[in-house]
Amino acid sequence: MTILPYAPHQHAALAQLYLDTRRSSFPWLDGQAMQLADFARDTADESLLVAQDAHGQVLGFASVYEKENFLHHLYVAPAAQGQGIGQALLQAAALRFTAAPSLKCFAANPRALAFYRQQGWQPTGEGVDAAGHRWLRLQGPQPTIVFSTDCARLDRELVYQYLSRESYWAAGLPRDIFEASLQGSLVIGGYHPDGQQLAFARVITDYATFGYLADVFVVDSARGQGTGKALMRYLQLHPRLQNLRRFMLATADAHGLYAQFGFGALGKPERIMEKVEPAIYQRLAAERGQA
Amino acid sequence: MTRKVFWDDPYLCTLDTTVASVAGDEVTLAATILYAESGGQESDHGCIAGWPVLAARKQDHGIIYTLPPQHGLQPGAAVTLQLDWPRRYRLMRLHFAAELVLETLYQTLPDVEKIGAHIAEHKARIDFALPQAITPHLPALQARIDALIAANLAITSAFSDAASGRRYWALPGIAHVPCGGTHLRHSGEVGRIALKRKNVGRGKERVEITLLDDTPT
Repeated sequence: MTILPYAPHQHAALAQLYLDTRRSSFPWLDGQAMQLADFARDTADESLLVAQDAHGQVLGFASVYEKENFLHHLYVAPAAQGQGIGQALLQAAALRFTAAPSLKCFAANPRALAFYRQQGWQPTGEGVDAAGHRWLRLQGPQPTIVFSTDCARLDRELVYQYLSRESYWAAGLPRDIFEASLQGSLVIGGYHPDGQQLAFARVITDYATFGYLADVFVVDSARGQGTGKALMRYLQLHPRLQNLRRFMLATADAHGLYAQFGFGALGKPERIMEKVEPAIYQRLAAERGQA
Repeated sequence: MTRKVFWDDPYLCTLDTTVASVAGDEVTLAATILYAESGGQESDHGCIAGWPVLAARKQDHGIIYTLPPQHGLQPGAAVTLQLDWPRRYRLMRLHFAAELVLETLYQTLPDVEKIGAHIAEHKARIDFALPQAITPHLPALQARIDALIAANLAITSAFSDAASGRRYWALPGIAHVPCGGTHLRHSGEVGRIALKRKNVGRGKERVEITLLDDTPT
């Protein structure tokens, strides 16, 4: 089972799953009034995550209204329930939350309520919908890290200091080259909910066939807490980084982390070439110093 | 697991039972009529074998009572429970009044969200997330609730799922609400009530409920 962002070819299967699952899980609602078209209407403007099996068959989905940190939908096909798919979808959805999320759940759905409670969600409110059905509002755990590709949020000083002084790969990086590298990349920042930057990475990509992951780091205070893994999971679920034919990176010491996300040694090293100048920034410094 | 006789008969004021377990000043019972705070309804006051209950709390499907440290009770001991009935009856009346406020409000203002509730002996409150003041709705609300109380409707209260201890109360045809509190038999027992709006911050509205009759007849 894998979880991926929504792709348009899944639309029909998801609409069917949404219809079938609601009919079987909500026996107190009028199943005849439900339609396939409900799916598009009920997920408009939302960020969708889809669980599928090894054959590409959809097993469930989660839908998040990001503006309000609201988990609008979480459905697992009846035949696929009880296998941890809901939990996996919820964990993936958590990467979309920027503050403590909330959801509404029918009070008459004790199985769902027990599931959310088990996942650390607590009731904070309740109401009754137009048809008289009682719902509960549940609030989920505050995220420990929030990822964003908004370049304006970066703590540029922190990132530059780390790369140019502490990293083993970019020591001596000149500021102008650093700024230009941000311009030409998809930058990813990981932030504490209070705004402090905890992690950084950038992907050099055409958003279609190829990507190169570079300059990945986690600040000292956030190491050993799964921050790197969360960053990789975020990248894995990024809608613009899907179906790349080749995704590459270089690492001296983090093979174990990347291996968990499908990266491995070059399959055919004889077909990959590189032109590399490890000491380029030292050469540049010397040349610029002379000028 | 403690047998919760306050559900079978919420009007029962004394009960003979046995001590199930003892851990220091904390005891559990085979059966009980002493409610432990849940769903906003405060714990009962009462005595176990003459010892005043200092605290009661739910744990899983049981209830743990705290007694004075010198209680000396042993597991298996036969004990008599005594409930502070005047307090409990006020809690039940205020609880049901609060339920009526909530249900009536749900039917009056669609999409209103309850964000808190507390039932104490002399006052109940319900908090709502609501962008506008609730004041203009109070007279109509009061009229509808007064009518439900005056009609002296029969209240049913039972398990929706006995295995997990989930219960509901219902006014047939009017409301069916999940709740594990202790409930009146008839709506008329609430008697006359007063509703008051309190401002408790932006976007939040509180309705306070007090009983105007001490002993309804």
